[in-house]
Amino acid sequence: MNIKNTIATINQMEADGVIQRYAIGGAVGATFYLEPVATLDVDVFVTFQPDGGNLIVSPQHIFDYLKAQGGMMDGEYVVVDGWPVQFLPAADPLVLEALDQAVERNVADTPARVFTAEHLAAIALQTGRAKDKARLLQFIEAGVLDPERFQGVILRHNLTEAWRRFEQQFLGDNG
Amino acid sequence: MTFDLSKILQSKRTFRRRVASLPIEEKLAMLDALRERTLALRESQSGTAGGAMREESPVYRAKRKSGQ
Repeated sequence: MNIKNTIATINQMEADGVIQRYAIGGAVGATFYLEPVATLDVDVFVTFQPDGGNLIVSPQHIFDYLKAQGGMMDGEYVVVDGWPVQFLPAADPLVLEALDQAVERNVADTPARVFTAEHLAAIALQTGRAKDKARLLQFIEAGVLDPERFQGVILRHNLTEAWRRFEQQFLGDNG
Repeated sequence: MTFDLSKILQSKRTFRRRVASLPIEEKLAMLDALRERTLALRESQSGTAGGAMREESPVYRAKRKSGQ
């Protein structure tokens, strides 16, 4: 089990044209900015090529490619180097923007494309589960968000009301 | 050692910041270790070796075709 190898395999998929562009989100993406938090899977956002007029096509070619390389299917996951990877279509405008503006980081000579901290925080706000709110708090407490960029994302994606509620609930007078 | 809550919280914050500032290779290695530990704990709690364990999937508002 080695997540660095998982990332290398995903890079190879991109190089081989199996996926167009990818970026890591979720808890693994957040680890690039925050302290690591236990997670069981890797969220990889991808753009799927349109096929026959459909925006979203079957990710069968991803499964076929990984299967040929010894990968295993497990429900909606593909197990790559011991880590279950979920390939998620970037269809929502916020996620599409996050994918478009994702940044490249180096993991001991292995490049990894990751959502920006501001997009990860905004997606956490939009998703809104308890653990997403906890992650958003982590981003705020760690001081890794660029306030201007974060506000821009919030405004562009109609998250102002969600942000107001979050501030009220968790940031109190500091908000 | 102290029982002063504010000092404890401050020390936790300092520790978290220190871990957050580690090189990404080290943090990813920590993720590997954390995942193994989480799986081992869940397995021992459920008592069912090899049972499926799933983290709740987030809803990313992805558009889905009907029937998917």
